[in-house]
Amino acid sequence: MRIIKVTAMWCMSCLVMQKVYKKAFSGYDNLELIEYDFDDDAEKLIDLNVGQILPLLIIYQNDEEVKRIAGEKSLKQIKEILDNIYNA
Amino acid sequence: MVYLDYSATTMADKAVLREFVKDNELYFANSNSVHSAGKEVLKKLDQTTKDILSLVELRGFDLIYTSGASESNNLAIKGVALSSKRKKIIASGFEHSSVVGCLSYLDKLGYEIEIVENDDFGLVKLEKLESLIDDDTCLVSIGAVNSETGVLQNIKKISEVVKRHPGVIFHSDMTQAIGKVAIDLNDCDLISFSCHKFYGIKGIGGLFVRKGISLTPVIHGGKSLSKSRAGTPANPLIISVFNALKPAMEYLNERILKVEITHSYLMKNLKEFDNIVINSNNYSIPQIVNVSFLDFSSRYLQEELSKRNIFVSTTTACASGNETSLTILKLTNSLERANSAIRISLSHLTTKEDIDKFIEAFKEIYSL
Repeated sequence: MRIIKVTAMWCMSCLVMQKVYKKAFSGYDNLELIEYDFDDDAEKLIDLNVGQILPLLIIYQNDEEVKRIAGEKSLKQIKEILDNIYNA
Repeated sequence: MVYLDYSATTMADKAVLREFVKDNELYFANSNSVHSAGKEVLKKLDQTTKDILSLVELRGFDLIYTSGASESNNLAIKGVALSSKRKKIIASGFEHSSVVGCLSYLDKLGYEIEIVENDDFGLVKLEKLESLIDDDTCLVSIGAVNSETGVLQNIKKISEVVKRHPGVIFHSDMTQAIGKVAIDLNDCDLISFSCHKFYGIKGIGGLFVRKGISLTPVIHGGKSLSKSRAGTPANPLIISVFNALKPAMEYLNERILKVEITHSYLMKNLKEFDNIVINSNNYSIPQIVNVSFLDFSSRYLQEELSKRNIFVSTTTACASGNETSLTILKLTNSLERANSAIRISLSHLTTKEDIDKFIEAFKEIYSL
């Protein structure tokens, strides 16, 4: 499973979610996490069509995008999504 | 032009500008110089600082001049964090990007950042704040007025909670409050402000600091007016702070009354439209009305109004390039409202005719 995480320094929801992500991402073998900054990595994000809601997680399984999670979510919500993808 | 974006910035008062030009000639010497011209400037700046503190009725405070509120927020938050052995900072979920930026930076450095829960109006839950403060907390930073919704926090109650914990410093970003609402600044330990929000000149602001609080500088160098902020003092700009603040404080009640009348008139007119939702609430200051016109994207509406020489904001001017209001999304949990929100910000200078023109333009856009 590969996750692209997009956040911005000025984004309150991104700050709120940092702790949640840390907890949510633990416990998965071979999870590859790529972190992008909305402003600093703007060129790299063009093809990803990030949209306006931050933070954004783009989740890939076998090199194929399978899910996007945008904005503030609970740990439970994120874990459920990740578990479903991981165990599929 | 119908300018309804006074929370983004205000135009400088003509009298302030005139004095500024004059003071550039009168007080050009460097106040750090030991010759008599320098000493004369230093005396003038010291007197100006005393006058400003007296004007805002602050007792036992110093004033550090900065380039504006963003620098003040940086100095307050990083300044406290970097000089403290404690590693926990608490903020509300509705802070300005310059506060969030500092917190994100400190988070990367290993500080513990806690965001206190808010109620449905966007007000900090006091019992949650109380439960988050512990012996490792160095700072609580909660802005007085949210720049997008206008929601005014209960600073006195928040201060009472913080004061129950010795050693914890209370910072408030008062950028949208000073000159707009009557508020006792003595409840806080650190207070940020920017002069261009109350008809002063851009490029000058300040941080009121309770005496005894030590801040690690953001701008290092020789001791100037403060050891916490190096650089040759911008004499005419510093003097202009007092010149802008004086009418803002002296005519505060009169100006609030005028805005309240304009606000009521605007709200009455807005209610005639279908498919709109007011995102501001009973805790919002009358100067800020945040409203979602659900039939339009905020960007489209802003552009159409702009074509008609009517100027409003979508998100705060300081959240770069983002068209969706993350503040409205967080407050209302509605993407539809966040994508169609505009902020109309009023001033005592806003007239009934301005509102009429805005409403007429909106009717025209609505019928397109």
